[in-house]
Amino acid sequence: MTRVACALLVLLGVAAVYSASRLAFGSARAPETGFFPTLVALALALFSGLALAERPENPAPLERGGSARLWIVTGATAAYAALIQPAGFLVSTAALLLLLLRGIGRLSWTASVAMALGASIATYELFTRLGMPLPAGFLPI
Amino acid sequence: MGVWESLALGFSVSLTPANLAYCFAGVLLGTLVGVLPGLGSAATIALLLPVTYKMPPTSALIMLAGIWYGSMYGGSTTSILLRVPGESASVMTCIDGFEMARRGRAGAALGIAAFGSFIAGTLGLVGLMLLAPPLAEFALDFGPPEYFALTALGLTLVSFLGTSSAPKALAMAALGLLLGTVGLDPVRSEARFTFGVLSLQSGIDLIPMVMGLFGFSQVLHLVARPLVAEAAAQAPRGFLALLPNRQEWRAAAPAIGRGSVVGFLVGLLPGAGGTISSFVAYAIEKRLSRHPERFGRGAIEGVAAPESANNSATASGFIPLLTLGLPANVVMALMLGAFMLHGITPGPTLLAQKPDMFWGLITSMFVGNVMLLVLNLPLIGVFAKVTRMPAAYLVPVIVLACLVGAYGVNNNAFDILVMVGFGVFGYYAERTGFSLAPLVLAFVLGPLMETSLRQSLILSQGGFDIFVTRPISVVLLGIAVLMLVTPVLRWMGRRYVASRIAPKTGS
Repeated sequence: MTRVACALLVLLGVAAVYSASRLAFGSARAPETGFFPTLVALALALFSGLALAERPENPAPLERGGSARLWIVTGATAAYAALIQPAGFLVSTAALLLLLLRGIGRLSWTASVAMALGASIATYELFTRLGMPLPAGFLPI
Repeated sequence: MGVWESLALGFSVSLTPANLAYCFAGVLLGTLVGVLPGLGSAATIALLLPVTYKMPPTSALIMLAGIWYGSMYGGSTTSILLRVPGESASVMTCIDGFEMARRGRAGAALGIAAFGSFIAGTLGLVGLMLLAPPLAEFALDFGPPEYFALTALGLTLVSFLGTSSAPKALAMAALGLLLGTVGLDPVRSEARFTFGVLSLQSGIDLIPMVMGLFGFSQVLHLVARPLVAEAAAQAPRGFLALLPNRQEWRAAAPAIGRGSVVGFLVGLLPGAGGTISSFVAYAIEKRLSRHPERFGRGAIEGVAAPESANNSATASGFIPLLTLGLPANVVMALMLGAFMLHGITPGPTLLAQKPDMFWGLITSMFVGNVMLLVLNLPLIGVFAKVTRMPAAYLVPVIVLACLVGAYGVNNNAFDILVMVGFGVFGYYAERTGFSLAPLVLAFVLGPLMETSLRQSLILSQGGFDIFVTRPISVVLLGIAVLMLVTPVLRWMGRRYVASRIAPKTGS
């Protein structure tokens, strides 16, 4: 896993060098837009290559269900980004919190629903009053 | 302006009722996030940055600074009672602090952590007060080559301090610099690495990035591998239980003094900050002790030294930011963001142009330290209850904070995706041994580094001699090169020795 991470960073560095090569490089006398990005992308490829050469060790494996929970939370939060404008802050936040409290945290339905609604409404009120508007969505508020 | 007039000016700003209230809100919030494992001061400050936009600039800085040093007080409570660090800077406190608690001296451990933090925080502020003005004056002469050298040295230091693998840390620094180039070129305003995405034109925003790297990634750690707290130690009851006895004071007092000095010096270094300073202070105490075998078995010096060090390091961490405009750690990078949000560039001219803000901020930290001492001693029982908050509640709290923080910067749902992306990245980076501090610091320093490099080269007409003919830049770059080259030389030396020995053993 660690070697894959190092290798991905090497690839990212090489891709960035390629992408930066389409920008004007200039010269040391008159460095242009692509000058600095090319240098740091080379450095990225070089240092992650060195990290790969260190033969790094892998982390301890997760317990069962660990990565499933990880990707459920990640996917749900990414879906939240798509929902917040059309559905509004209150609905989408309450739904996400319900998933976290009931689905991941294994709290009772009553407690989960109460806390999800309470926390969403309190946050909405607090931040709207602090002058940070949150989207209302389709709710008439 | 003499020291006393400056202090009077500062206190006239920091003691106004509004600023006292902001300071109190900051230190209280800081203590709470310090107590909560998983939610750190960096993520909290990032969350509150958009809120501070509407506040007077000095009040905003006073509150954000309060979160930072307040979290140092709170972190020790969780370490001592639960053996789980509430903040990364209180990792060392877990060892002897929890041991003391198990032996029924939880009160003394919590008490000495609070007193040590107060004494060291105050000493650190005196150092900040005396050192910052002359340094700011000195830095007025800095040109592009000096700034380039400073950023280069900063990134090298952050990559070599407290990381297990220098290549990994340097790779993260390079990635941070690369991410910093996304958006418009600072000199020519040409788009770079935007791939036609409009939201990327203005570059990647620091706040969603930090919320992801330090907030959302913690959520992923919590759900992937639930935090199993060991049986919590009994929290002390009553105020008197917090007072260390005479013998404990005698052992702890020199440790607090040494911890303060060590913390102050380490805190000045870019990237070091509270965590490393507490490691160093603990190691020094153990080395100097006549009974090193007591460490790990409930030695009060093992609590006093690291807790003092991380507090004086927070004070000295302000020096590079206030005098050079260079953030020494992630929290200072966010403070820089707070300055910028209000159109103020911290640096050598800050003291001359805004003395009320400069001294107001520094004196507010004296006030905040007193508040923390008064707040912590009677309320430790309450904070002890917060430490037992299970992950089932903690996860939604952090997620909600990250969502509001990321969305609130620009009212843009794209920033939530950026936050989630950096959260997943941060999770896997930490799992595979890449540290995130070099990445964030490089991201913040990147534009300054690029501009100063390009300006220096234009000044010298393409000659790199401009960096070696100016005394300050040659010294700074010399140190950086030495740090980079030493491991390579050591490796080559080992290879050489091995190649000379191998044939002999073979024959």
